Amino acid sequence: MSTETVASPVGASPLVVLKGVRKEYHLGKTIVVALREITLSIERGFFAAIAGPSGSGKTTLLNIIGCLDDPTAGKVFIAGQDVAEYSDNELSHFRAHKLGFIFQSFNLIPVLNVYENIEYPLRLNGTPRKNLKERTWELIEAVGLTAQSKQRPNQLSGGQRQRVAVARALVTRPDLVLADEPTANLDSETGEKVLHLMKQMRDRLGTTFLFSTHDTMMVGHADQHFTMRDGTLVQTKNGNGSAASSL
Amino acid sequence: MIAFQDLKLAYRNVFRNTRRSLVTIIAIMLSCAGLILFAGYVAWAFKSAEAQAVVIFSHLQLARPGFYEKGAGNPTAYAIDSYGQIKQLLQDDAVIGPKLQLVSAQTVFKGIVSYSAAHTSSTFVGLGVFPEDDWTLLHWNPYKLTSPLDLPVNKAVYGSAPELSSNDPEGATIGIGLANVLQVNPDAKVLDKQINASRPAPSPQQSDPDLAALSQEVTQEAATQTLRPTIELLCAPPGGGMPNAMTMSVRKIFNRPTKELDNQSVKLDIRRASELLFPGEELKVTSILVLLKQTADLPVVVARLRELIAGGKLDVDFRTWTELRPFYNQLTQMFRAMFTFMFCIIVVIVIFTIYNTLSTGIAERIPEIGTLRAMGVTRAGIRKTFLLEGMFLGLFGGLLGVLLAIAGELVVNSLGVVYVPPGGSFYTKLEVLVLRAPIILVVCFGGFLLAALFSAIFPAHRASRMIIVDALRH
Repeated sequence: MSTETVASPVGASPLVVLKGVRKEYHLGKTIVVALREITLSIERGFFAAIAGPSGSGKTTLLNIIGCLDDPTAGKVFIAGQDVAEYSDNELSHFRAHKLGFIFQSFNLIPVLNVYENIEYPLRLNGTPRKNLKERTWELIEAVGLTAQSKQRPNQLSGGQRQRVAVARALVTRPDLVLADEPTANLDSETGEKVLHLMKQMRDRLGTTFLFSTHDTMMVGHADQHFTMRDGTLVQTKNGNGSAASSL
Repeated sequence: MIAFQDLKLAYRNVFRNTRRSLVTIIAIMLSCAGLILFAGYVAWAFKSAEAQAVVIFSHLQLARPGFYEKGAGNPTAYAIDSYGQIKQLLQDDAVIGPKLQLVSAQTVFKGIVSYSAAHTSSTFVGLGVFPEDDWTLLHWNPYKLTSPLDLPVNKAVYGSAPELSSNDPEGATIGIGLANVLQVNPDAKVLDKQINASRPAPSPQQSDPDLAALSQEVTQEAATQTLRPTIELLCAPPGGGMPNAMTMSVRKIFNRPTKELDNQSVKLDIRRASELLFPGEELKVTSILVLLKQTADLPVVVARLRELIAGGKLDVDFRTWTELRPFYNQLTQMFRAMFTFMFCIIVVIVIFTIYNTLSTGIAERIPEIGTLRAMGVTRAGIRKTFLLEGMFLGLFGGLLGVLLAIAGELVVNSLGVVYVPPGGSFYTKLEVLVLRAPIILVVCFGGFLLAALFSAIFPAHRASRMIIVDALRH
């Protein structure tokens, strides 16, 4: 895997490219700038991290890359496609097929069991019935939850829930999985295991991962990481800790 | 399109907060059951009122032109002398014939009645009928309602035999009000005691039971006739001149549908009425009664009658039972208005109940809605989920309401409550028609289902319009 990092949309085949992305929020008459002209690119198959303190804009950046939020200015390209051109329905379709999400609070559907939670995105993106079981079980086994497949989320530990979330995010074989502080609600040991699982799945399926964290220990696992402060990308590094660029 | 996955998710979400959903479902169930039972009562009231009107007026009354406009003052002036031919024509008609239950006739007339034993007299309204036809008419019951004639309370008044009898042409019945005015002893028990006292003991040699019964009947009839009070009827003939008089014996005293009729009614064999009004002439009647097998055939029969009249084959005017009994339409309009009012009130309550349940559910599931949207569920998909949840609430509440209403029907119908309904002439057993009026189940259940869907529209729309990142942050 390439360890070359870029802070500008150049490279062989970047999966994610952001050009001058700015995000402002209006709180009454006050304008809060959450992102200031972010420009970055992430190569396919990278295990990338966004680090930074709370309020630095990590989640906002992930939301924009995940097509959950619109930038106030700038362009977002995913797999070469300018997502601003998509309608709401097209974005839903895009997310269902190309993106996977892992949330800090797991966000599993409480009325569905482990199997159903993982199977749900497959049904959503219209996977043929004959492939549903096979692909769902493949992921359940991969995350080691075969014995818990019939259990509902409230019967699982935090680590197990996040493993379900990882499986759910990967079951559709998306191009990109976005994880917003996936280990924040877990103890360090479990967090480490979940991160290890994510990396393992990246190795196995070749899926690009982008996760946010404020834990510097976690950043060490990334092939590429971005550091943010006050809505600005202040540093981009490759996996061995060397600075590829400093902004 | 609704996939099994959508249904499963919506179903499970409904029972996510079991207590809240159960309260909502119970509210829908009780509302639905209450409405169905009320509709069942209304259906029974309609059918009961129809049956009570038809047994008195029949479905159609045919009379000579002008009778309905001017005949009230002198009905005999509009007498029909071709009753037999008209009856034959109707029975032979290819359209009307198969729909007929009975064609009969009646004669309405007025006069003075006196009871010489008490030196009393009064004006009366006479009604001449064919006794057996009158009995047939009284038993018309196509809706299989509990027949008023089967109720003990009515049997005590009306007896279990025809009011009049062709074997007893001299016998007449009078309204209880008229009996009071004339001071005719209305106490039938006294008569019965007298009959029993005068009845000879059965002969020990009489071994044939049929012969014994016949002998007893004849003896009883004779004893009754000799003991019955006699009244004199005095009527002016339609063409003027000397009044005609006739002596009749009072077979029994009856309640009539209205107080006015009760105070004036004398009912007798139509042939005796014809002799009284038209002495020495063939049978004449003032109206021909047409009873159909079912009321639903009335429009067809009316259309055919109009054709016959327009074609000159019949020279009559006619009135339907609803025209003769306008109270029926007033009653149905009143009940329809009440039902509509109740339906609207209940449906509005149900709509607010479901709306509240769904809104609360949505408020608790905002992050989940954000998650679903992030995973690729479209706005329409979110709307569908909540519409289905509303539908499930309506479905479960409605189905349980239907079951409860059926149970309620069994309970109410087994209570045996009897009363004289407004405008009725008999004691009637109060019933509710639920299973026998399935359209009520369909309308009420369907109405609640639609109301449930309607109540889910706004919450579902609100859920679908949530901004994903706000929902995830919630």
